[in-house]
Amino acid sequence: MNEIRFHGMGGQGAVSGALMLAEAAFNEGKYAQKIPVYGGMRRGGDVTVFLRLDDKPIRRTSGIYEPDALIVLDPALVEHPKVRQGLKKGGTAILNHTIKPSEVDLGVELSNVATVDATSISVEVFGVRAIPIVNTIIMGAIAKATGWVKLDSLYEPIMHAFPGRIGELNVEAVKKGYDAVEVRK
Amino acid sequence: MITEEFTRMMDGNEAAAWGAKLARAEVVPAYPITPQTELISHIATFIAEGKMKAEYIKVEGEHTAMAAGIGASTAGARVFTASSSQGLVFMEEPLWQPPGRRLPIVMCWVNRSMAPLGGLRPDHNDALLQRDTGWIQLYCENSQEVLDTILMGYKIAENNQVYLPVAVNYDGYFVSATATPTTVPAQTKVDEWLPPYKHEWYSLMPEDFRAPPMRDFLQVRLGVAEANEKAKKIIEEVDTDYKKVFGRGYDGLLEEYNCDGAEAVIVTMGSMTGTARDVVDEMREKGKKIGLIKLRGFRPFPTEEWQKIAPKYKAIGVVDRNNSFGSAGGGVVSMELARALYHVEDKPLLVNFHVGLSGTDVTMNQIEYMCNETLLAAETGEVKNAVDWVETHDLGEVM
Repeated sequence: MNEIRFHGMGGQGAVSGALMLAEAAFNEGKYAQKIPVYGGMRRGGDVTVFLRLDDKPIRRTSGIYEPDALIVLDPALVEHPKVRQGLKKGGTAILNHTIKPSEVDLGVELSNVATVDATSISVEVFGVRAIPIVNTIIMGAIAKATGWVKLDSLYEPIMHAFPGRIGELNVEAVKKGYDAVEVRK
Repeated sequence: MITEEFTRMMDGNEAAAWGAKLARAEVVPAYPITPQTELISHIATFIAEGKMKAEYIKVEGEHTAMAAGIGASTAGARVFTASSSQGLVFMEEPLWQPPGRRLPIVMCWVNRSMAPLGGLRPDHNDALLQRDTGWIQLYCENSQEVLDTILMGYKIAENNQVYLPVAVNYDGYFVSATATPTTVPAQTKVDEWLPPYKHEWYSLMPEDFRAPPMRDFLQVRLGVAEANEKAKKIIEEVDTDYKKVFGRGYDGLLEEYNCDGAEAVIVTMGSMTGTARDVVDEMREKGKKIGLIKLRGFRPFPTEEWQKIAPKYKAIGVVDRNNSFGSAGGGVVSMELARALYHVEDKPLLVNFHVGLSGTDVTMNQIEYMCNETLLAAETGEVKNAVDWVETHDLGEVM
């Protein structure tokens, strides 16, 4: 079982992004499960999402405390001790950040580190917003850095969630994330 | 309109909305604001987009939601609604009407913790507080079970030996917002299995006006008690039949999981059951003689089934995601089970755990701890703590 933990701020799309990734994996024949954790407030509050991928049905509903992979949607959260807590040695980290993967230090040896400046790409694709939407950009980065899902498997879940123009913009965003991500294995 | 079966990632709320839609619920009276969940917003969307033919009555509070549901059900409409925590409790006053009036309303109780400091996350106090109302209470483990149980719920509720309302319970967050692959059966198949609602006792047609007499308090109460007894068999039968037609079943009111040769078992309700399955399997591989019992039906309580299976085990650990302050001992489920087993010879020891209160996570570590404590009681013949507040021990992370 692959246990992945997402951290983001409300409004960046961590919950819907994780769901689209889960759907893409499911459409490829894997089992998936997405559990979001947030408080009463949405926009601006901290959001954690647990995502599990496996070859067999996933039964446990508990949180993920020792993730195989960490996905951080907001650069400000990378430094937070709660965010990096429990990340497994030899694990994966994919961050929305301007630094290079070689500069990433999460206090544990990792086998796969990737960074993408999703905030800048978001401005390019969606324009300037109080809380930049970065989820689909990160999904593209994940597809390239990990191979958990194929890039084109993400298109259907995106268009299902956002039919029409918004979906098309997000498909563009996911491709840009895929192309822009820097990976160090 | 989608008529073919399909499977998608879906959370419990969306699955519940599909359940109500497939059951062709005709009237959905609901209060749409907190503590209501997204379930009602999914249904409102179905109706607004013309995908579901139902009257959505947006009322000013949960009390009115149930009052409107009682009226609609009496008038011959299939009724669906939902609420949680403080909203469900606000509904308490009219909530007593459907069982006595024998109205087969199906409702989701999305379990969320009570005030003060309650919130979006689950425990079971909101539902267990309705213990004495006469509602049938079933508890689901994941979105698939939610959808299936709503369909089964109508079949049970509308059975002329039952005619009772059914509450389909599922945990906030861990089911309501947790997406897992969920199969939505074909509408045509559901239509074949679940015929339109027609109450044999009621008719509001002027040429054939009938309603059961409601004068005798005792008769009404005896009727509800008897219907609860009869419901036990009907719930089993509906489950078996559902499995035959749709390929998924849930063992009625109670499921024994990996219990062969077990000396001790733990008892769970709702979403934590999935986690417990993984823990029990892992412990079995290490040679520990532990099993799991999923209590799916709390009302009617499967007393006879418990009495039959309990003597196989030396100790039973009941996991109560609720409190009953100042009680005879421990949580609501554990007290219920103690009464069920009181006259049983060779009854096992009872250990009681409080855990996951106000939606704190029930972790693998905590479940392993509870399994080990129950095994210890089985080995030593002694119960260390009659009531154990698991969260007071440091067993690693909780969120």
